[in-house]
Amino acid sequence: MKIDQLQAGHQFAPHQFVITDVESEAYKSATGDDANSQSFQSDTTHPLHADAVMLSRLIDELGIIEDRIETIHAGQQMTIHKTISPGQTVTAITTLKSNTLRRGSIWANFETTYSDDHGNPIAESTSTIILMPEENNETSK
Amino acid sequence: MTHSDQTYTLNPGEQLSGFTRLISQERINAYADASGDHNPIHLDDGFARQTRFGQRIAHGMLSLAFVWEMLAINFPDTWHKGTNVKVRFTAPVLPGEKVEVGGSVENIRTTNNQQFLQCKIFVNRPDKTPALSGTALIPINPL
Repeated sequence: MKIDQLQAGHQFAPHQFVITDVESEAYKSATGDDANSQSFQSDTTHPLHADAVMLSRLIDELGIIEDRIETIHAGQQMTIHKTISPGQTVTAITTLKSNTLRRGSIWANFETTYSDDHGNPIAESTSTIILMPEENNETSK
Repeated sequence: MTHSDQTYTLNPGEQLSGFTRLISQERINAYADASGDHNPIHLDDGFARQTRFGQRIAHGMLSLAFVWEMLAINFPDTWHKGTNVKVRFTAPVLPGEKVEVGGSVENIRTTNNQQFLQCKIFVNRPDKTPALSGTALIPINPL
């Protein structure tokens, strides 16, 4: 699936995932330090963990890594309604809100909603990603 | 400042409690594994040298993770009850840089009968240029 083939409004297939205890601690360790290691309780994942996982899955799904396309993460917005516990199932649904060509670059805006097992909202996020033109990216295939 | 049953120690104009953090390549590698984001611009020096940045850069989401941590430190009871964060990534953070994570309270604003503390937030590079800047809305006395 390539971004330039998708229309605004395209909804990606839902993703269900579980952040394990080990994964949660690894994320907190990668972003934290000893002094602030107690910023989040062990029964709570880092607020950005689920969104980071989903964004990674999305760029994988779009072939950005495989095609080695140069990208710029231009902006991010997120509202959090409740915490996520390690072991909890999260369902994420992403919609391509806009997809515009500006000076050869693609500006893509994605909106993702996160919900729990019962369909209750956990969070919403918006990501703005710029995909640089392949002719300017000497390392692209 | 007191709002019904909850007391806030921060008033408009005051600084949030922030921190500094070193962005080593080891941290970037660990973040790539933890988040699943293995974009070569963060990890592959040969690829990164041919991009507009000329070298590897840290994930923007890594800097944003620091902002959420700062909000959790400053607002431990409310960061997960409707807090909204909106940022732009304005400059890359390079491996080896120590960034400053901070913010300040701007004002109190009401949206849909809910009061929010509106804060400016930032992550600055060592030369004080912002790598990330934006706004956080933290609910006051959320349901």
